[in-house]
Amino acid sequence: MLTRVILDDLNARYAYALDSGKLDLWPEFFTDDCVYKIISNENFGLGYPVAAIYCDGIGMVRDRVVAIMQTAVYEPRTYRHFVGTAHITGQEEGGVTSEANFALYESIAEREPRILFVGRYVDRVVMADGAPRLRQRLVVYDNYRVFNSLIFPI
Amino acid sequence: MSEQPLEVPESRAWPQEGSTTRVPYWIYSDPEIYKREMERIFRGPVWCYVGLDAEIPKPGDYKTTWIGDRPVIVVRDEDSSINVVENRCAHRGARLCWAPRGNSSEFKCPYHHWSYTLKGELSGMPFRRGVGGKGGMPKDFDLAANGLRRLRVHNEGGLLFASFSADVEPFDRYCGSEVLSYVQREFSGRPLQVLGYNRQIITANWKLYFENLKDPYHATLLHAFFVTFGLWRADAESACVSSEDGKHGVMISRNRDRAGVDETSTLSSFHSELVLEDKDTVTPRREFADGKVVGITLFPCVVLQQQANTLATRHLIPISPSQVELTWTFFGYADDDEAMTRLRLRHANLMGPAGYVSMDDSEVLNQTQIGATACPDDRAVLEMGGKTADNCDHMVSETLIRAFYNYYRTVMGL
Repeated sequence: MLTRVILDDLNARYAYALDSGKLDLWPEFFTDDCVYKIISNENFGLGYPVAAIYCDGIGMVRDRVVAIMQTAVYEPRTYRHFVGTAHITGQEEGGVTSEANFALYESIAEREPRILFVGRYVDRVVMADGAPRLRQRLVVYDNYRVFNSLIFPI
Repeated sequence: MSEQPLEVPESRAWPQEGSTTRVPYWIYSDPEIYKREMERIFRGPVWCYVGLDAEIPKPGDYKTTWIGDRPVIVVRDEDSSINVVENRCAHRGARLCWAPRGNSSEFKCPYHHWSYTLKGELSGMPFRRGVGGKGGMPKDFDLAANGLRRLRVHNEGGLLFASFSADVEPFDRYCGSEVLSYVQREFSGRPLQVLGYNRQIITANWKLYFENLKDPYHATLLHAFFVTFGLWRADAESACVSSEDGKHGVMISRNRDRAGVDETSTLSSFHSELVLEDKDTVTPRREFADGKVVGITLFPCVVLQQQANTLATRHLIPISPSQVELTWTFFGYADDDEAMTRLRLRHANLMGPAGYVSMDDSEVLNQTQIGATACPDDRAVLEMGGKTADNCDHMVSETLIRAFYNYYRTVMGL
């Protein structure tokens, strides 16, 4: 039974993994057949499929980690997630649908911290291999524009 | 053009030493230069990209956007023609359309309800004759003389352009025949479908972004992802082509695979140990008969991108000397099959604010802006591939940037 407490715990561990730079742990939160997208509220609302990051299946989630670690060129920075309480929006085969608000702050040397993203997670969560995992995480951001670059997953 | 010339200080003289190969850093931060660019370039005799006609398919559909620092509305009229008018009420200057897009049979200002047709003609306002015989507009008030400013419009195979200038050349002459042929290769009139947007603020001068797409040399070094997966490599058959006057540029290459790179490779950014699980992300399907990968910088404000199977327009909207909004409009062709759309979406991971390659660009351009702003009186050195601005058949060259600045200096009087 997936309760709000279990979802909040999942989100807390997820945010901790990303904020502490443990990118290699990030794929563990997903099922093999997952969909992960960072998509603007504009595209989401208009039904446009293009996303800032689009992963269809766990392979693409792992590829994103490999590319960030091996090929991306970026100024060092810290991301800090603030995730609101999960809200279960429905029950479905094998799990639940849920949403949670988030804000993401970016901190870079010699600059003030900035709210880089604000938005909501639109999730489908199931029990898989003995743990709650994301079958879908749509990171739907309210920002009209992204300030410069988006380096890490949200 | 304004009657009052903008004053640019005497110290703002182009470096004498090798003037084609030196670019002074003050052009990236000086507010007077920026003002002059808005006046002479963006409101001058140019064709500015404003969108795709596929964004406004039905009569009354409109989108709002910007030409330089001026807000405009792009609208499809009742007869399906496209109008571009300034998004600013002729009465008090309030923005007329507040939403990024919509559908309307007229434009009505929310402030005092002045109404305009889709062509921008002022059709009327409440209380024009007053109330109970009192007030109202003077009898000689001329509706026809108080419409919205209407721009010239050109539709090139679904790409929409507008111009503030009555003197701008016809679009084909503006492009020149060779550049136009590359534009028409991708925009032949085959109907387009919009797949979505990515919008970002690049924290750099708008010209630095434009230069980035005139610089095939950096792509072979900075973008390890490109190099490793053969999408852009210095050993690929390639070319740099400018319009005769230098303002537009075309970078031409070919997608390759990993084959042909051995351990002794001189491709310094090649990571032989890097393997992706999702091969489709780096495996384009051939769709253009010539097999080329083509990136076009169309002066002054759009990049036409074709890389792997991702197609996009990148619209540059300057915000200030140190920031530019970049709107990526991803599209496919309306008759694409499902497998092609799937590839276009996968390959879009290369692009945008989190793109496997374009993330490197937004990062490095910010660093360039920081360095150039700190030392306005120093200058950049652009000698890769020689000192001239001729076309070339390789990518180890900065010739397109040199050509661009030859043109820029003429327009700007620098």
